Amino acid sequence: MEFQAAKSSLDPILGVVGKIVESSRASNLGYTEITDHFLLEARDGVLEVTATDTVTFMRMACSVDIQTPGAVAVNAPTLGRAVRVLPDDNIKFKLNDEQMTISAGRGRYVLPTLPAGDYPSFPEPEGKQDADFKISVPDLHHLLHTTAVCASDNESRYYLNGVYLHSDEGRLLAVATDGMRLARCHIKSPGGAEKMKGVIIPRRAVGQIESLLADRLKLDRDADKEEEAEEVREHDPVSVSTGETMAWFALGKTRIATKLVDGAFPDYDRVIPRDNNRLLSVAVAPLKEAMARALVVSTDNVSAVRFDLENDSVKVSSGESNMGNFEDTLDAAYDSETLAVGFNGSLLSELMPPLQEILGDDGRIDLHLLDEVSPMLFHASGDDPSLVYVLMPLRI
Amino acid sequence: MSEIRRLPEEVVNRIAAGEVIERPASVAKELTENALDAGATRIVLHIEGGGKKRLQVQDNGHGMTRDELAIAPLRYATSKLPGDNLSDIRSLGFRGEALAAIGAAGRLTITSRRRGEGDGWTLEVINGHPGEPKPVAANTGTKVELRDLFSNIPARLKFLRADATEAMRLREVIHSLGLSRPDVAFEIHEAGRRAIQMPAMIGAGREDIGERIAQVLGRHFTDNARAVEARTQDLRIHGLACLPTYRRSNLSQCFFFVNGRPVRDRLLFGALRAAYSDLLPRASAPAAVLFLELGTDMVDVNVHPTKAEVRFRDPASVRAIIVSSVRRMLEGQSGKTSTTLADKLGDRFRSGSRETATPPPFPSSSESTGAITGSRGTITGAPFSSPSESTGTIAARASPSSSTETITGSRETGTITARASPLSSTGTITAPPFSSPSSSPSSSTETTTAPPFLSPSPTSGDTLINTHPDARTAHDSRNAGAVNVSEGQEFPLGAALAQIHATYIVSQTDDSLVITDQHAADERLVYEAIKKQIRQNGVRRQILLVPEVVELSQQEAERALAQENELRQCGLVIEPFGGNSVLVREIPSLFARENLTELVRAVADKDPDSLGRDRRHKHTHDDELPQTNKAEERIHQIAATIACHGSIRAGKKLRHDEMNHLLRTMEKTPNSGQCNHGRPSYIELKISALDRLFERGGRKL
Repeated sequence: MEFQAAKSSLDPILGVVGKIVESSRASNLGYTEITDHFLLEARDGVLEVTATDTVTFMRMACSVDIQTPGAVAVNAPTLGRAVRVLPDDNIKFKLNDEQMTISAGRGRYVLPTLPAGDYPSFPEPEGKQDADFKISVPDLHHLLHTTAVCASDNESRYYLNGVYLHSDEGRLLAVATDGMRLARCHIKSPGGAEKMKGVIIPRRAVGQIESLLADRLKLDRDADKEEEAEEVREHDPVSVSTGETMAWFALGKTRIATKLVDGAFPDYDRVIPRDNNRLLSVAVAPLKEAMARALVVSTDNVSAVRFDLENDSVKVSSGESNMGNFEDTLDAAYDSETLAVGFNGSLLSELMPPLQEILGDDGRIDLHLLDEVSPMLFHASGDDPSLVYVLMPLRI
Repeated sequence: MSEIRRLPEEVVNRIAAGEVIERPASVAKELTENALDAGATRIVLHIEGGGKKRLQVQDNGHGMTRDELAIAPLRYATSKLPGDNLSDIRSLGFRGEALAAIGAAGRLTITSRRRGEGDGWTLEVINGHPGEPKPVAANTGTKVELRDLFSNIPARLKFLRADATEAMRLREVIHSLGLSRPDVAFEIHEAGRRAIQMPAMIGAGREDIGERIAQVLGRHFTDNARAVEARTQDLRIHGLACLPTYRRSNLSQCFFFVNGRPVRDRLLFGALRAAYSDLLPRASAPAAVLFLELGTDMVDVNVHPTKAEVRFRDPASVRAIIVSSVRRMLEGQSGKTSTTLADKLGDRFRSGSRETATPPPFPSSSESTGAITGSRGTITGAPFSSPSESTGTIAARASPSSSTETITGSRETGTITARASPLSSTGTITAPPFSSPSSSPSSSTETTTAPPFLSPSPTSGDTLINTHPDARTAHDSRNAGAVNVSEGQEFPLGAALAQIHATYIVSQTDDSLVITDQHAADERLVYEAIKKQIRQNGVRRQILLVPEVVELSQQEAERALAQENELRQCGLVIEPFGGNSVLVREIPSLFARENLTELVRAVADKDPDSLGRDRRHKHTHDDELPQTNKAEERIHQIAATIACHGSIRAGKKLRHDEMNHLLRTMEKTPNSGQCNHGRPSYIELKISALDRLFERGGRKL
């Protein structure tokens, strides 16, 4: 195996694919000696780099100059760091006696390798899948980014450990809940997804996909800035296939395959309140800031925050007897009787960034409440919101 | 029908003997107390046959005159109640029963010489009948010898145990008296061999008790006990009580003294137990030597013939001072675990390295290997970061002179070996992530929380470590601020270095290595937090969006529902859900989203009525406690169960900031040295101890 690759094309790939190794390593999930490696496969003028945590596989490719095709596994962190610090130049890779020589300029690494055959094989879809469709990068990012935050990490309810992607009446919906809050986001169903069966994408895989899409969006934004004069570019959509136990996502030369969470997602629709008759409307940016301030005086995992809803204002307060307390009053539109409601502030606070990204700094959110013990519903101001959150109060 | 008549003296004495004199130990107690009341500074006991065959107590007290000696063995003859005032008892004895009773129980010989008089006198008591004193040569003081205990009361003799057992009980009695009087020398000779020697603490006041306690209970106890001291208007308590990690299987190392009198009173033991409740495992007992002083009118010692029990005029305040003073000591020790543990660890290390005389190569399974590299315990960080920022900085600076040590643990053998890596001379706990630094700002928690590689992988263990002092570790915004540790601050539990086997947190301070059991530690933190909430405004309850159905057995469901109210007070709201299921509607907000089903099962597993049974099993004394205490205890028990199930499990991988957060919270929480079951939550190994293990000398600190 022998090839040459430009550092500028190889380095970013190793960075993105390497995130799977990093997170697997950090969580100890799926972390084994072989999954601490990258699989490098060079053939037909293309180098493919694969990483996995045994649940999710990610494969990226770049064009390289191949002398001898071949495949081998190399330790991921070492290779990633080595490539990063080599000079900006063509990097030569050569496999000799199970050792990979990597050289650039006069610098040279010799790294141990493992045989490519030891590496788990990238799962390919076999036969016809349940659903095949294309979805734009911003749409898929929107669905996952807004909901993933509510996915549970409690392994005792494993069927909540992901984002439930399914179709209903011409809409494609993403739903996630951790038993205390719930996120539901929908878009108009892309062609081919109308009949898909629901799948639960594990939250770690969602994280990988989301991160990949976010990188692409950022690249596009940067490119758009530079080429402002030119007409808006057509973006590559993401190809999605879902099956019984696996789902595949492809964007350009990058592919992600992930096992699905094997379980039934609960009937979430009945917990979304319909009769909440008190409406509080508040600007998102000040609320986000007030929440951040309130959380300063709370202890780690219980950050009880209290809203006192009064005429055209909401008082945000928090505090523990031994930590001091905080109080702030925000302007708001509210005209029902006064109401005091408590909730876990971190659970709400985590929902602020996605809302603010969608709404912009001037946006407002609507909170629908019934009383101090019933679920609160909130979403961007307006009718028929495509994104809603439900949060259960805390009895304080 | 027989007529009523007065019992002859002889019979009365035998009846009394049955109450006062149970076994050789009680004879020794009565005679030794007499000796102490006579102002002796040295008391020597000689026993044979466990004290059954011969028991002699010799003192150097003020002795008796001939006339005193003649009536001493008579019932109700005593020198100890000068004003005949039973409510002002300052001597150990006062009833005037002992010698008469002893005389009725065996062959008694008393020899005594009054201080300042030339002649000694001796007198024999046979079957309770004292003979005439005869002159004899004797030292100042009194010598009392009892032979053939209970030879005339065979029924009693049968109840005595083996010689060794009786001798042991006798030693316990003398130990206990010895604790109350460090200024007196005690010796016991068993069959001519000296079995116990407690030299007098010369110049010691009655309160210079530490050395005597060490003589009786061993250095081990004194090293692991802390002073207890408290005073109210009427009461004073002082003494030593053990750290919770030094625990015994029974109450044999609990000594209480009321105005210097050794007592084994259930109220006192109960109070001590209460002070240690939830710090000790169920089946174990604390160890303590405690002296209680109060006005003689506040306590009635004339309750029990052997005076082992006393009655307090105000038992509640006695209980309160014991519980509060011991508790305060324990909470002040927040966190100290006994040195025994570190010693034990040292032994393990030593034995481990003996077993593997040649250090094994790195285990091939990378999963079981964690390389720990670190500098000397400095955490530097952004001085303050607002929680809305989702990043914080933890970086350890490597001091150039510190050498890197790599600890590898191998799961298969269970031994821990350590060796220095010769190639690397510095190490930091953070290395930069190898992913490209341009990570997107909107990436999910999955990726932002991933810490960088901590260490080289085992296969590349000896390759270059790319140090990067300013490496940033991104972390969850929820916990931001928790690890904003600025340089130079002192933290007893140090800076977290790594987690091993997803169970233990390894951290280091300026002069030690600390290993923390994450589950034990967090369990205590959650428990204390729930208790605090119960005390204040009640436990905060998170209402569940989707109530969870928990399937139980019929018995479990009944038990769980029977405790609905107590559970609600602890923040767990359940209701029947048909069949054997219960519906969980609300959970304590502290409950870290762990397994609800297991929690409800665990709570239902404990029969609420079994509490009383458990407690009797513990030999405690809470039957006398008001009912509310029992209910409160039950609630604490439920809270403990919730804490146990709601805290971080062993096997859960923690991020760096989570580890530091746990350590910082422990430092602020009372009793964090033990989990609710009394297991230690961390152990500390001094760097000097490590140096000894590696036979390094002369570290310059």
